[in-house]
Amino acid sequence: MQLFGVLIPEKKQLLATATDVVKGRAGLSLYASLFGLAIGFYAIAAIFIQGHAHTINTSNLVPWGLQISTYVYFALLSTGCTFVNFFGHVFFEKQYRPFASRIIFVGIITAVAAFFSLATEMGHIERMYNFLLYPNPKSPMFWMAIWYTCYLIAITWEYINIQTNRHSNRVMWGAFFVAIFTHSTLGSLLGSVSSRVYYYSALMPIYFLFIAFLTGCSLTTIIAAMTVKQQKLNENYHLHPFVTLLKIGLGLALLITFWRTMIGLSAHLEGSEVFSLTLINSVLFGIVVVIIIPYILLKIGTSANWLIFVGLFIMGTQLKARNDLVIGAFKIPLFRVYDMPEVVHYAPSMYEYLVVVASASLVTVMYIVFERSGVFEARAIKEDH
Amino acid sequence: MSPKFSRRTFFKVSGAATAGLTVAATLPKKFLSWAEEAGQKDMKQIPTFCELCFWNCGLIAKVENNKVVKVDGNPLSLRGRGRLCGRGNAALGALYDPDRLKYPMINTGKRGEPVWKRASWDEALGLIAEKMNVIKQKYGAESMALFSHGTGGAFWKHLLKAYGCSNYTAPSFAQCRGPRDMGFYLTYGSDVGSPEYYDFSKSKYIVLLGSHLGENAHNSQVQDIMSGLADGARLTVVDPRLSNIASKADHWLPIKPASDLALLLAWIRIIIEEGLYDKEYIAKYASGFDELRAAVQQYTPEWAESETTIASDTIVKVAREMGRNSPHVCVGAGRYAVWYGDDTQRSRAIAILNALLGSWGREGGYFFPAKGGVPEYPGLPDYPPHEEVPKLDDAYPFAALQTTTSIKQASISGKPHPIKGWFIYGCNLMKTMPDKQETIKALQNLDLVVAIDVLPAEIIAWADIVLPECTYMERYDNINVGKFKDLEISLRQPTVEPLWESRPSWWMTRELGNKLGLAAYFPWKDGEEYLAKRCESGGIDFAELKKKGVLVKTDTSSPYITADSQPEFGTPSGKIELYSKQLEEKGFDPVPKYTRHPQPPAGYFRLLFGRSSLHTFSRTTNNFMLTDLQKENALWMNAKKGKELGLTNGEYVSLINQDGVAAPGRIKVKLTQRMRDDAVYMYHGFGVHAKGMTRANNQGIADDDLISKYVIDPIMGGTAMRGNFVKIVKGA
Amino acid sequence: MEQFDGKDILDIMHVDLQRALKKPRKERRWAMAIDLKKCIGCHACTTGCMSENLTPPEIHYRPVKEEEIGEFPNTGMRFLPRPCMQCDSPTCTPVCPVTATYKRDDGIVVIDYEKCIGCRYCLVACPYGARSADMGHYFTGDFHGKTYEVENSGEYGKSYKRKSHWHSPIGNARKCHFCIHRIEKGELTRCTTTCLGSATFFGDINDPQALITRLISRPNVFRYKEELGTKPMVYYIS
Ligand SMILES: Nc1nc2c(c(=O)[nH]1)N[C@H]1C(S)=C(S)[C@@H](COP(=O)(O)OP(=O)(O)OC[C@H]3O[C@@H](n4cnc5c(=O)[nH]c(N)nc54)[C@H](O)[C@@H]3O)O[C@H]1N2
Ligand SMILES: Nc1nc2c(c(=O)[nH]1)N[C@H]1C(S)=C(S)[C@@H](COP(=O)(O)OP(=O)(O)OC[C@H]3O[C@@H](n4cnc5c(=O)[nH]c(N)nc54)[C@H](O)[C@@H]3O)O[C@H]1N2
Ligand code: SF4
Ligand code: SF4
Ligand code: SF4
Ligand code: SF4
Ligand code: SF4
Ligand SMILES: [Mo]
Repeated sequence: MQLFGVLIPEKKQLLATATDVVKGRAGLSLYASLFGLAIGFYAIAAIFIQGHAHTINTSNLVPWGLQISTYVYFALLSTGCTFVNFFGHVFFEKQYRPFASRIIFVGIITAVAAFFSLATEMGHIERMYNFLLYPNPKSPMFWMAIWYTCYLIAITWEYINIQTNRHSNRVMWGAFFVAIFTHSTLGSLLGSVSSRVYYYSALMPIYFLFIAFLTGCSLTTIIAAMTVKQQKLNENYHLHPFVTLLKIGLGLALLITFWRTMIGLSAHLEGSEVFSLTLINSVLFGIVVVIIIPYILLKIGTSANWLIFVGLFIMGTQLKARNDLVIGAFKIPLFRVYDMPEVVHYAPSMYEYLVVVASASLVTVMYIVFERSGVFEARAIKEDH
Repeated sequence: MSPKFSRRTFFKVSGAATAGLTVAATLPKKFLSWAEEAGQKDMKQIPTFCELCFWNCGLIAKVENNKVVKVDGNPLSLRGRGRLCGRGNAALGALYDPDRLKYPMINTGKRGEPVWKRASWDEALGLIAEKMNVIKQKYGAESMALFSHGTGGAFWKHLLKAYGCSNYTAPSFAQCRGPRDMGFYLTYGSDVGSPEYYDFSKSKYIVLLGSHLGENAHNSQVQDIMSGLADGARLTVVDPRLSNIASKADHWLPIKPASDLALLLAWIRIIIEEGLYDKEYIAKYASGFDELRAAVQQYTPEWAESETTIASDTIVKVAREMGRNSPHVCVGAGRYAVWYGDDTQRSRAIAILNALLGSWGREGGYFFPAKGGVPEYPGLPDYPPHEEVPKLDDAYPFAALQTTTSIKQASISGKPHPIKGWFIYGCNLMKTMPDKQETIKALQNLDLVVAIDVLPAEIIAWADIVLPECTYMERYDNINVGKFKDLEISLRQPTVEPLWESRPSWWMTRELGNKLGLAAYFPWKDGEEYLAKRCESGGIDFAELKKKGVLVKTDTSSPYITADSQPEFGTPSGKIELYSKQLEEKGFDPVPKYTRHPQPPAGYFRLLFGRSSLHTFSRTTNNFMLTDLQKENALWMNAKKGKELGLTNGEYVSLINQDGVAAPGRIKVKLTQRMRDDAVYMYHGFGVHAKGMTRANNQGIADDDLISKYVIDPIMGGTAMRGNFVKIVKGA
Repeated sequence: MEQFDGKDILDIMHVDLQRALKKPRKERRWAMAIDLKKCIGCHACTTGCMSENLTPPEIHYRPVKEEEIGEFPNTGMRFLPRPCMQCDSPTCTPVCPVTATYKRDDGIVVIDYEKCIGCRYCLVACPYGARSADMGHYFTGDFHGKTYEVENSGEYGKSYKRKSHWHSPIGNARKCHFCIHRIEKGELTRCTTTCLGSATFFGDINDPQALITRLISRPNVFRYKEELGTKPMVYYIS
C-alpha cells in the first residue's frame, strides 16, 4: 500500500507547500486557516496551562458548554460525511465518484477535530486510559468512546480503499452502520438522561442521525461545489445529488425538530419549561432559519457558488443550533438556591470560541494541504512496485 | 462538664469506630484502592471561641501545616453545644480574607479622603500616645472616648481607665439592646442578659415580637426555641414580615409596623380583665397592679385591632392561650429594640406582660442565671480618679451605659464637655449609628481618631491611625463568661500565628500603655500569662481550660423560683414594679401609654431591616465563604404591591427616603408573599462603601444610608431607626 | 437541646453510629432524615459542610432552598436542605464512563478522585443538582502561599491538596459523601452536628433500633423526587 502521495501527501509536495507558505504564495485560505490553527492552539495551550478556572465559562449550572457543542457538531459533520459517502456510492455512483476521497477524508479529519474540543473540556484528559482500565458498560459515554474508535477505524479503512481504488462495498456498508451506531449512541448520551427533560427522549438518537445527515450534506456540498469549480466539472450533473441529499436532509431535520419540540412542549415535568421558554428561538431559529430558509435558498439556485453559500449558511446555523441543544438542558436550574438566576444564561469565553476556531482550522488546513498536494486526484495505483 | 458530651468524641476517636474498618469489602479489588478504608487522619485541634457575632460560641479549630483547615463546634460550649451557626462555620473566610488590614497605617490625607502611609507599630503607637498626651493636657483625660464592640474591647477600656477616662460606649446599647434592658431593669431591677435568660426549651407558650430567630442566629437560643417547639410549645409571632420563625408559628400576626405597644397593652388588659394572670405571683412579688389595671382600661381589643390591623378575636385568642399556659410562657423581649422611640416603654409592656403571666423565674419563662465570674488580673494598681465633669447623658436619666449619641453630640458641640479623641474598636460607626452627616461632623471635629479593626471597613477611612487587630482565630483575648443555668467560662486562644503584622489587643494596649507611662497597669508578659493569672486567682485550672476551651461550673442556685429560693428584685421597692415610680419621678409615664407613630405617606414604604442568617451586619459582608452564598441584599416587597408598581422579581431599583436622601447603589427587588404592603425590608450590613472590601463594596443598598431621621428614646437615649420611609425608583 | 425520649438526639445518634460501625460494612445502610418542621433555614449545615470539606467557591454540597407557599397573609415557608441523596438507584453512577463514581456496599455514592476524568456527565445526570464540578477556583485568589485552600480536607479519608488544576479534586466532580471520613471515625456528619434546628438525623437504617429507623417509618415521610425511581437515602419528615 502506498502511503505517500496516495494516503497522505508526498514529502516533496509537503515541502513545496511549506515553501509556499514561507514565501507568501500559499493563498489566503491557507494563511487564514493556519492563523486560525495558531490562535486555536494558543487557546488550547492556555486552557491546559492555566486551567479551566481561568479560561472556561462552564460551571455547576452549565456543566457542558460550547466545547461539548463543538464536539457534537464536528462528530455530526463527520457522520454526515460518511452518510453522504454511502448514499453517494449507492445511489449516484458516477456523479459522486470525483468527491469520494475528499469527503471521506474530511469525515476523518472532522472526527479528529471533534476531539480537540472534547479534550479541552475534560477535567482530567490525562486519565483517558481509564476508559480501558475501568470500563463502565452501563455508560453511553463509554459506548460512545468504543464506537467512536471503531468508527474512526472504519472510515479510515474506507478512505484507504477509496484512495487505493479498491473500494469495497462491504467496508462501505460497515462504515455506514458503524456511523449509525456511533452517532445514535452519541444521541443516546443525551437522550438517556432522565433528569433533564430537555434531553430525555427516545427521539434523540434519531435526531442526531438526521441532523448529522443534514450537516454532513452541507459540508460535502461545499466540498463538491469547490471541486466542481476547481476541476471545471459539469455543475448540474455533479452537484445534483448533493442538492437532492440536502433537501432530504432538510426534510428529515424539519420532521425531527418539529416533533421534538412538540413533544417537549407537552411535557409537564420539571425543566420542561425550557421548551416553552425557548419556543420562539426554536421556531424562528431552529426551524425557520435553520431549515426553511436553506430550503428556499436551494430553490433559488444551484450554481456551485450558490451552493457553497447555502452550505456555509447551514453549517453556521447548525453550530448555533447544536449549542442551543446542549445548553438548553441547563437553562432552568435543577435546584435553585441563593443567588441563582431563574433562567441561566451562559456565554462562552473567548477561549471556548477559539477552541471552535482550532477545530475548524484543523479541518481546513488539513484539507487545503492535502488538496494542494494532489492526494485526492484520481489515479491508477500500481500495486506491484 | 456533663458526661454525655464526652461521648461525642470530638477530641478522641473511639476505638469502636475503627473496628468496622477492618472488615473486608465485597467489591472487586480494583475498587478497594479508594474511598474504602476512609477515616480522616487526625489534625491538631485547638479550642477557642467565635467572634463572628457576640454569642461567642465555642469552636474547635483543626490545624494542619500551621493553617486552620476547618472548624467544628465545641460540644462543651453552652452557647453553641457543639453546633456553629451559618456564620460561625465561616471562620476561615474571616481569618484568610486577603482584604484584611495588614499593618498599622497613618492617614496623611484628610479624614474621609485618606492617604495611607504604612507605619511601624512603634511609630503608630508613638503617634497615638503623643496625641493622647496633648489632649489630656489641653482638655483633660475625660476628653477621650472609646466605642467598642467585641471581646477585645475590654483591654481598651482598661487602657482608657488607666489613662483617666470613663467615656466608653457601645453601639450595641443605644443602637440595640438599651431600651430592652432598661425596660426590664425598671420593672424587675435586672435585665434579661446576653445571652438572654429565655427558657424557650421548656416553654409551653412562646410569643415573639420581631425577634426573627433563625435569621437572628443566636446559636443556643435558636436551638432552644426549636427544641421547645419540637416538645410541643405553641408559638405566636408578631411581625409585619413572615420571618423564618414566624413560618413555624401557630399564629403569625402581621402587625402594622410601629403599633406593637397597642397589641401589648390590649393583651395586658385582657389578661387582667379575664383574670388570666398569676394572682398569687402578682400578689406576692409585684406592686402597682391596681394602677396598672386602671391605666390599661382604654386599650380594648377592638381599639387594638384598629391600631394594629390584627383581628380582635385573634388578639383575644392569643391572650387566652398565654393565660392558659401561664407561667410556662415566655414573651420574648427581643434584642434589637430601638424601633420607634418609645422602645423602653414597649419593653416595659413586655416585662409587665411576663410579670402578669408569672413567667419571670419560672420554668419555660425567664430563668435566673448562674452567678459568678472570673476576677480581674491580680495586683493591678487602682485606676486614677476621674476628673469631675458634667455627665454626658444627663438628658437621658436611665442611660445605664453612656450612649454613642451623647458622645457624638459632645464631640460636635463641646457640651457639656468637649470630646476630642475617639478610639473605635470593632465598630463600623458609619453604618452603625444613624445620621451619617452628623457622625461625619463629629469626626471632623476631633483631634484624634484611632480605629482598631481587622478589615478596611468604612470607618477606617475616617481614622488618623489604623491599628490592625488579628482575628479571633489568632489571639488571646479577654476571658468570656456565659451566664446560663450553669456558668460557662471560655477561653480564646490563637489557633495560628497572626498573619502579616496584625496584633492582638492585649499587645497593642500594653505597648501603648507603656508609651503613655502606664506600664504599671500592664504587667503581663503576654496574653497567655494575663489569662493564666486571672484564672489562677479565680481557682480555674488554666491548663484544663486551654485544653477544653470551655469550662462549665454547675451552679448550685436555682434557675426557678422555689419555696427555698425566692427572687430578689433590684428595684427601689424590691418588687416587680408594674407601676414605675422611678419613671414617674423623672416625668415619664409610670405605666406605658400608647402613642401613634407617623405612617408612611402615599407612595412611600416604611423601611424595615433585620438580619440575614448568613451575615452579621457589615462584619461578614466581605467574608468570602458567606458572600459565596449571599453577596448582596434584596428589597423585600409584598408581591401584589410590587406588581401594581410594575416591578419584577430580581429587577434592580434605587431608593430615596422621605428627606430626599438617595441611597448610593442599587438593590434587587424580591417580590414575596412574606411582607405586608406598607413596608419594605432589607438585611442590614450591605451597601458597603469601602473600596478595600473588595467583595462587599457596592453590593446592594445600605439601610443606614436611608436612616437620616431617628427618634431618641427620652428614657435611655436609644436611637430608634425604623421611622424612615422610602420611595422606589425604577431603572437603577 | 433537642431531646428524644428524654435524651439528646446527638447522643442517641452517636451511640447508634458506634453500633453500626461494629457490623460488617455491607450490612450498614446509611441514611439521613431531615425534619422540615424543625429546619429553621439557618444555613448552618451549608456553611458547616463548606468548612468541613474545604469546598471551593460555588460548590455547596448542601444548599438550603427557601420556598414560599400560599399568598399573603396565608403565607408559609418550606426550607429544604439538599445533601446528596445517596440514591439506592442513582442516576449518576451508571453514566460514568470510567466507573469513577459508584455506590459503595454501604450505600454511599462516592467519587474516586483519582479515576474521575472530569467529563461532568454525572452532573448532567443527577436529578437533584447534587453534583458540582471543581473547576479550580479559589476564594483567596493569588494569595496561595498563605491560605488554607491548598491544604487537605481529609475528604474520603484521603490527603488531597488542591495545589493546581492538575491536582484532584480540581478537575473532578464533587458532592456530598455523607462525611465518610467522619462517620468511619465514629463521628456524625458535620451537617448533623451543626444543625441549629436539630432537624438533621443520620444513621444506619438497617438497624431497627436506630433513631433514624424509627423516624423514617412514619407516614409523614417523603423523599425528594421519589417518582424518578432514584430511591433516595435522604428522607424528609414533613
Ligand atoms: N445572623 C445574624 N444574627 C444576629 C445578628 C446578625 O447580624 N446576624 N445580630 C445580632 C444582634 S446584635 C441583634 S441586636 C439581634 C437582632 O435580632 P432581633 O432582636 O431578632 O431583631 P428585631 O429587630 O426584633 O427583628 C427584626 C424583625 O423585626 C420585624 N419588625 C420590623 N418592624 C417591626 C414592628 O414594628 N413590629 C414587629 N413586631 N416586628 C417588626 C422585622 O420584620 C424583622 O423580622 O440579632 C442578633 N443575631
Ligand atoms: N441601620 C442600622 N444600624 C444598626 C443596626 C441595624 O440593624 N441597622 N443594628 C444595630 C445593632 S443591633 C448593633 S448590635 C450595632 C452593631 O454595630 P457595631 O458595634 O458597629 O458592630 P459591627 O457592625 O459588628 O462592627 C463591625 C466592625 O468590627 C470589625 N471587626 C470584626 N471583627 C473584629 C475583631 O476581631 N477585632 C476588631 N478590632 N474589629 C473587628 C469589622 O471589621 C467592622 O468594621 O449596630 C446597630 N446599628
Ligand atoms: S452564633 Fe454563630 S456567629 Fe455568633 S458566635 Fe455563635 S457561631 Fe459565631
Ligand atoms: S442525589 Fe444525585 S449525585 Fe447523589 S446519588 Fe442521587 S443521583 Fe447521584
Ligand atoms: S465527572 Fe468524573 S465521576 Fe462524573 S461521570 Fe465523569 S468521570 Fe465519572
Ligand atoms: S453529610 Fe457531610 S458532606 Fe454531606 S452535606 Fe452533610 S456535611 Fe456535607
Ligand atoms: S442547619 Fe438544620 S435548621 Fe439550619 S438550615 Fe440546615 S437543616 Fe435547617
Ligand atoms: Mo445588636
